[in-house]
Amino acid sequence: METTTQTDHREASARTRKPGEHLFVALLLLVSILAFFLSYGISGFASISAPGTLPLLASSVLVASALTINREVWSLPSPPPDQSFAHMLTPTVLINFFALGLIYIAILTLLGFIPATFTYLFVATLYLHRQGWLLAFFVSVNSLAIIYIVFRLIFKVILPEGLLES
Amino acid sequence: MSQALEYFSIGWMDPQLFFLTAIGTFAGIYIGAIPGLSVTMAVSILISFTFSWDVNEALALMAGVFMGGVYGGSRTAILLNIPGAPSALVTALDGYPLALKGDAGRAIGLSTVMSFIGGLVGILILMIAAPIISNFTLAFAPRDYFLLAALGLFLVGSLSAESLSKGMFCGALGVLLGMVGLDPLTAEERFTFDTLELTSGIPYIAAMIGFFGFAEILVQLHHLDVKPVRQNLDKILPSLSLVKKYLPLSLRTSSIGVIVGALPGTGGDIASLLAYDHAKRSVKSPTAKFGEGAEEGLIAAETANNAAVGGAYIPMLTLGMPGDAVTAVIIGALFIHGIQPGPLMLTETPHLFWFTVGNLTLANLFVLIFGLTGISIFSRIVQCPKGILLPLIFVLCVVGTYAIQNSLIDVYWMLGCGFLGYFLKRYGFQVAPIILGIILGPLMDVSFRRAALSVQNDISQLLWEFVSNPVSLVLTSAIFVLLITSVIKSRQQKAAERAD
Repeated sequence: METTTQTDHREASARTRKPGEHLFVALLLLVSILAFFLSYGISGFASISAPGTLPLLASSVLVASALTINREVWSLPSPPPDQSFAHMLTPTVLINFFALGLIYIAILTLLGFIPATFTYLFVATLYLHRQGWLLAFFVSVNSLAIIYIVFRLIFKVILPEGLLES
Repeated sequence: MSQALEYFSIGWMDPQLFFLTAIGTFAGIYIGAIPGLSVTMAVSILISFTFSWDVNEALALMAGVFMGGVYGGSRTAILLNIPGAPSALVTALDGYPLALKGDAGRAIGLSTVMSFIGGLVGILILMIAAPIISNFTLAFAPRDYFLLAALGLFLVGSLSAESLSKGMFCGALGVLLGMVGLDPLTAEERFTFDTLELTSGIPYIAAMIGFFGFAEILVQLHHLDVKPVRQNLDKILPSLSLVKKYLPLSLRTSSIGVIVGALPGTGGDIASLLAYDHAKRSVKSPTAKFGEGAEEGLIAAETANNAAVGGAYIPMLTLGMPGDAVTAVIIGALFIHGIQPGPLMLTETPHLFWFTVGNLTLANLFVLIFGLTGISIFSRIVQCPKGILLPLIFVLCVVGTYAIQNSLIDVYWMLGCGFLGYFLKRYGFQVAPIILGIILGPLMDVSFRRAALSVQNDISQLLWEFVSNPVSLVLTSAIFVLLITSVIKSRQQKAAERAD
């Protein structure tokens, strides 16, 4: 719900479909139908106080709204040729950032919080900010120190311990 | 009365609570000011760090962050034309033109004092209205809670997305996600796919951090190259005569803020928009044209969004209904501390109610103090490049999620929810109804089934009770009126789009 959302709203008010939007909403419809059958599987229409009643109600709303969304989206004109899915939704920077995040979580369990977080912050800052390794190093060390002092030493939060650390 | 005053002053007298509120407000101002950091995100991360704390300490910190965050958004709106929070969108309309004229200091000073007045009005109305509403809702039956939760969810869905169907979809999705795990009445498994990890349900704090925090980081990656503009600052403290001049307008717009803030699903953003509209209609000769640096526009927006904070606490403390996304997260925090917000809160735990009121008042005072000081340092800090900020926020999201139950599985949940939230946001869905659905879903489920059991599962009798009891009738009618008006509005909007 940030300022970007407003931009998104403006983008959405343009009467063309966004790249990949029709596939996304079709996927939502499929998931909704699956949710409906799973809800039915809980207790069927046994009684109105059965555990499956509200899930059935909610998944019915899900299916109905997904159908309406599909109808709205599929009736929109195709996106302009200069807009691509990769550009609008999965730019390289996003994929790389997500991959870096996954690697960070994976190495957290191996290296432990301090080395893993330092490595992640250093590489991510170097990649996103692009102002040289010295600044990235300075920012990473300071950020890590602040996080460690505030959360581990003051708030006593347990941080992930790696195999090497333990 | 004396006891209420005693509870009210807990946060003021205890040095630790006093300090936590101050720190929270200070941090909130910066969080609210930095575009890409939202108060909701900050409060949801805070829950994971504070769940082992004493409830008073956790609430003190969160109240500070909330109050400071709503105000903080105005700083960047005025200085950089980048509203730090949605509630400051309207502030930028006249705040930034004022800064362009070299009046940034005056605009910040005025917005700070007016935010303080707005916040005070909100808290005052919370103090008066909450006990009355609370007494009234004591008579609520389970079916009324179901209807109330449905109404709240429906309001959020219809107001916070670009189309009604998208809002409804997100609300229903949230309810379903809230159903995952063991049924609270029969312990039957629902949507667990026979996996042990899902029997305790989806960790909703991980979901909140994912939907609000990680998803926002991914969205912000599209705006890495946005460069802020530097501004000059001069004298900031407004004169007493200026404050007096704008007092009647600020009281009117504050009242609008409280009312809008108290409606489930609406928050400072809608409050400031409506207050701005009111100022535009009611002020005959503004200092400049609205949108070109009218002080009245700035005042209307700032009083209303801060007054909406007090307003948002009214349904939260009296009905257990979140007034906005932040109070939805705070309800989650109260649940973690074993406290059920609702009509019984004022009778069973009055100290918590008056403590919250006292704390909000203290946080509001800190808004005034911190708001009028350290602006030049502030302007340098908020210009921190996103390339540095986003990796740091991601680490906070990971640490915050991990801290809940020291589980990396929760971190993967956070990532998954964030990834889904990102796509939903990019395609014009809002994630707030999902979170509200996760929180309200279990309440709706239990209330509906208790209502059904009370009429021996007779569906016609249950439907009759929805319209035969005065409270239920009002709630049922409200849902229908809202549904009909939303459908009409949606159709009119589409017709207008087609005409364009």
